[in-house]
Amino acid sequence: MKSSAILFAFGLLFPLGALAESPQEAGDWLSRMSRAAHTLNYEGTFVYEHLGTIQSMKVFHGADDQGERERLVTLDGASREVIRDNDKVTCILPDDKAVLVDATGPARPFPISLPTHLEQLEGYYDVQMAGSDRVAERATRKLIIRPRDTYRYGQNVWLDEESALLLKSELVDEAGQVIERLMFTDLKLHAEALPPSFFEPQQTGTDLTWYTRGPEHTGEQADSPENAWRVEDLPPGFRQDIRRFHRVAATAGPVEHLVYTDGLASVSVFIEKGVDDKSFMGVSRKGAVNVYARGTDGYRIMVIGEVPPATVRRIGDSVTLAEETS
Amino acid sequence: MANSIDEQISALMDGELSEREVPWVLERLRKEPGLAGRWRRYHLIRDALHDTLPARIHFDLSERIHASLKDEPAILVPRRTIHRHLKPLMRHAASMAVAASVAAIAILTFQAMYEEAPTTVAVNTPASVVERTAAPVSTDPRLDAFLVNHNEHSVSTGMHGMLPYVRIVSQDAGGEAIK
Repeated sequence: MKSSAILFAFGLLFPLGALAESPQEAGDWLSRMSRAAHTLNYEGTFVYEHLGTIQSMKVFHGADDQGERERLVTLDGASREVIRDNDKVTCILPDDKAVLVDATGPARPFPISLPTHLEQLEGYYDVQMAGSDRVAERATRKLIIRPRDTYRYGQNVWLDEESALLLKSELVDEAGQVIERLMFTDLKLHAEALPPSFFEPQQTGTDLTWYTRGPEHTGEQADSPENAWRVEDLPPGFRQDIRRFHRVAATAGPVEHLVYTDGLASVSVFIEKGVDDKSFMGVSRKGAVNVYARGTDGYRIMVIGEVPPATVRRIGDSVTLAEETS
Repeated sequence: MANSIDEQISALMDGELSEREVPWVLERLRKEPGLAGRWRRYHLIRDALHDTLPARIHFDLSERIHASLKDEPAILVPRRTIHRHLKPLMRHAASMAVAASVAAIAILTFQAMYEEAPTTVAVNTPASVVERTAAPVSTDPRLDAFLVNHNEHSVSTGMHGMLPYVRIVSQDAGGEAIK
């Protein structure tokens, strides 16, 4: 309160004060955005555009003392849904008559410790308020997040003036091109929690086959000693956020999963033992996500993140297995 | 004896379809483009869940063949070979279905072929959202599972909630559109 009063006074004294206060204000907006995404009850329709395709989807979000529930459903093309009940993610693919349930375990850091991340973020991104705009019939504030180097992407985000929810976002690559765009066309905020029926799958056909993955494997870490894997050459600004062992549906054994973040972008490093590494190498891409994989010493290193190819490559190339555990 | 087309496709994948039924199922795969997508996704789901993912399979190979039929020059050498032989037969509407059956046979019998093919393309050139690129993105099915795990622990999910999952449900939107 005090600081905003000071900033306000500052703004009165200096016509350009608004510019000076911008980073602080932008940081506050990002904090609010993050909180809003997880704590508000809302439903909205949006379009998603990438690689020349466009698709409309609907999202429902509810939060109460039981935690968070979310449902994402496609409105055109194949009918697909993703439902989250706290840490359990369920992908429903009725066109395949299949349901995938992925309990990703208790490690999800929620709420994200934003103050820390914001401070970290501001070292590597220039975050500026960029005026007002209108999205989905609602007043928004636009923020431009520019990377200070080429190891990360930029973002333009439009946040709801009232709730700070993200209403539009653009991911901008190192050449300044928008590589992914998401824009709400309709948003309804609810004061009350949404009824549970909102989070029930639309497709309830009895012919769906359910595939549920087993729980986290925690007892199989012996062959990969704690802290044995390291990224020796992290791009500036990235630091380790999470280290966990778990199963991924696509792998036979447990996978070591390291997550690095610069405060805005996250990069996952997955290390699998005994994978035929000759077959899956180099940089590839899935929408705005870049993937880099290589093999080393009977392990496959796979790096995934919404960062430029050079970043996943640099991280992937410098993952090394220390001979001895420190 | 499998009694629905889904089960038959499933049996075909497992090599358990009776010889009598194989031509019939292949015929349906050829005639019904919708089944081609199912064929692809059955592989994705089943192999992922059974931990038996082959080193390389292109689930949207049929789409890529389709694309190569439309756009010269073909990128993959094996594909160009297919292209030359099949192009005279192709009509716009039928090309997808034929490509799908080519894919079906190719996946079953010619996996070795793809060892030589550049399955992943190093994408260092920026892509615009307005650009309809035929450049293949990674089609390794294992990526989906990894992507879920990445999303669940990324700052992006922390900041934007479920929106990163948009990338998962939209992933083969391109393929669906072609159908």
